[in-house]
Amino acid sequence: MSDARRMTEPGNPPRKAPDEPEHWLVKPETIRKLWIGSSAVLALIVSGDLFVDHYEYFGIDATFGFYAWYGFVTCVAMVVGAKFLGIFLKRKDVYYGADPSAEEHEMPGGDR
Amino acid sequence: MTVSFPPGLLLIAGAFLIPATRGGLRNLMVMGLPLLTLAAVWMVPEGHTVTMPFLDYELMPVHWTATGRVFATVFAIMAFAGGVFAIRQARVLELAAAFAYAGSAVGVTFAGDLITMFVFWELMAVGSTLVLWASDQSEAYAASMRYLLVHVFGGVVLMFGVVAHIAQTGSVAFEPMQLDSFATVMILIGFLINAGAPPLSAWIADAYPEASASGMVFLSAFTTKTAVFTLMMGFPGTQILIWVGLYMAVYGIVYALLENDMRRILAYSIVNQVGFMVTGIGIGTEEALNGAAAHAFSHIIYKALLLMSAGSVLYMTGKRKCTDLGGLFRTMPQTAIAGIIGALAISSFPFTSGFISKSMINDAAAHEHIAIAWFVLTAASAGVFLHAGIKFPWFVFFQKDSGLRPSDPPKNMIWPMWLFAAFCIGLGVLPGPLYSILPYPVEYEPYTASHLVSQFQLLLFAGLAFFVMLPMMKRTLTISLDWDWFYRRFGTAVGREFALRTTAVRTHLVIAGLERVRAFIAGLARTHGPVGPLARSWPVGSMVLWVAIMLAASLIVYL
Repeated sequence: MSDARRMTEPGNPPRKAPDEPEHWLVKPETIRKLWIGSSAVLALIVSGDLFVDHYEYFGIDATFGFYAWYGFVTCVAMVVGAKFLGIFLKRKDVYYGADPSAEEHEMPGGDR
Repeated sequence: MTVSFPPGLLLIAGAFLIPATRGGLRNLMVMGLPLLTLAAVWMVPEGHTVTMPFLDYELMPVHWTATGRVFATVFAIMAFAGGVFAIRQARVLELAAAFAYAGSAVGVTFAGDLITMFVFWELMAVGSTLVLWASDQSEAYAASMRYLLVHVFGGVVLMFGVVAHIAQTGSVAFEPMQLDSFATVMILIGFLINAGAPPLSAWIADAYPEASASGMVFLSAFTTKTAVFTLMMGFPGTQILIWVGLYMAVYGIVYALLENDMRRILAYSIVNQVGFMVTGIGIGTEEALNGAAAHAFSHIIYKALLLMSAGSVLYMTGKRKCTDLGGLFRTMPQTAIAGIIGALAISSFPFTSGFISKSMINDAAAHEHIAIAWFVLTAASAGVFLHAGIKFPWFVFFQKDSGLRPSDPPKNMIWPMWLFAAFCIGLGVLPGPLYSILPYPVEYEPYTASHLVSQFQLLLFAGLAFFVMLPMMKRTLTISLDWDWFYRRFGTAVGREFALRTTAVRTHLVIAGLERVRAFIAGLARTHGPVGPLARSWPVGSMVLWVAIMLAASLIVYL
């Protein structure tokens, strides 16, 4: 099957070749254009509120740009909040593995 | 043709047949049995019930409900795609266990009584544990044991409730219950443990990511969504579920934001998504229940798609941590596109399946004027895009270049991804067929100008927040403590401390005891030893003398 010829070995991927050219998507020029394009889309979607009426349920949910600022502010709050909780909750990822009483187990189930 | 046996039995029978077959026949089984099950699900006539006497009770192993059919349909579709995804890479044990697991889940959706429900419920725990045992990940066995303990505990709580409920009411029927007795509270807790509700929610992120690349695809679908089904059947409109669901929605986001393992990110987002469904069940209006059922349907498909994408990455690179991955879009374009479509669907992007299902729950909260639910769910909708919609594809397929150049996975893993990607978009563009099988009539129009503009605003600005906050989201080699700390660390620490403290007492007791024994032996030696008075050799004359004295004494006493 041609599939097998093109496929790399599972679990052991080849590394980047030293002479590999930079992908166009990660060039600084492309990223700059992406930011400009995205900013335009953001402006456009907020201005959509000028033409669309939202039904009001809770007082502020029909105001101009509500969903835009609410989405942005709550996301920033969640990132900051998670970061803050992380101060107390984060541990090295070998935390449980480092338990001296943890024993090595043989896997049941036999071979593949 | 009328089907009068539980459709799930087809898959359970398959679990025993699959290991006995090889090659083409096995492929036929793995693909054919889920499709047969799907057909059987739809051949159970509406309103049909099959009863079976058992002891003093009338069991209902087949009991048609519209809600059950929605869940059974998506379970069968899931078993098909998961089976194809796993067919060549997974162990036979995993395939067989996954089919028994899926079949039991279908069994629950047709259970008309609590006993049948409980039997299939426990079979699911066995099947899913076996899926974990078939894993090739190093931590799988220990994680599977913790997983099993949580589910056995949940099963015991549920059985407690079921038995008490039957004793109180005399009825085994699985009907909506009021939260007014010990029995129903226990049943609710049993259901919620499988849904991943607090405090026992850590098992999802603990155990599922330790399954094999294909194993987690199966695991993500059945246990939590069966719990959603049972909550819908047993506790619609139970107010506490609103709070439980909101907690789950936020919990999933916060923990996923802190997480480094790509499959744990997706595991936490299961809790987040189930939180939406549980909130919907708590609201309990027809619209909310429709939304919960529709969202479970969409969720199973896009979550499986995301996990197939992550599973393909794991299979091809052998790596799971975001810190080891990145830049894979160059050589795994099909996996990346599948992952992005799944990510857009979970984020409820317009024209994907999440958009037409999740918004029904949000709108139900608005129509009922439950402000707290609406504001939290709306923030959580934005947060989904943050933690799963962008974070997963960004850190795996883009961000910094890891230098890894794996290819896309084998074809049997690619095809189900395309199938489910097509489902995600198909359901989003044409929601009609899904709406038509929901339990209640749907008068919902997702594609209004207002809904489109508000959803785009919410999601795109959540995306902006992600890239603005990117420096704060740098991945670290860490895990986050959760409630499972209490049974993984606190319990063992208490046990060890107990052992240490009691050692001194034990040592003291042992020394004191030995001292007693030594004193006893010394005493014996004193009286019975070589020179002890009782073991010494005595002259015959002294014995005669003593005999004479005692005879004289008895003469004096008795005369």
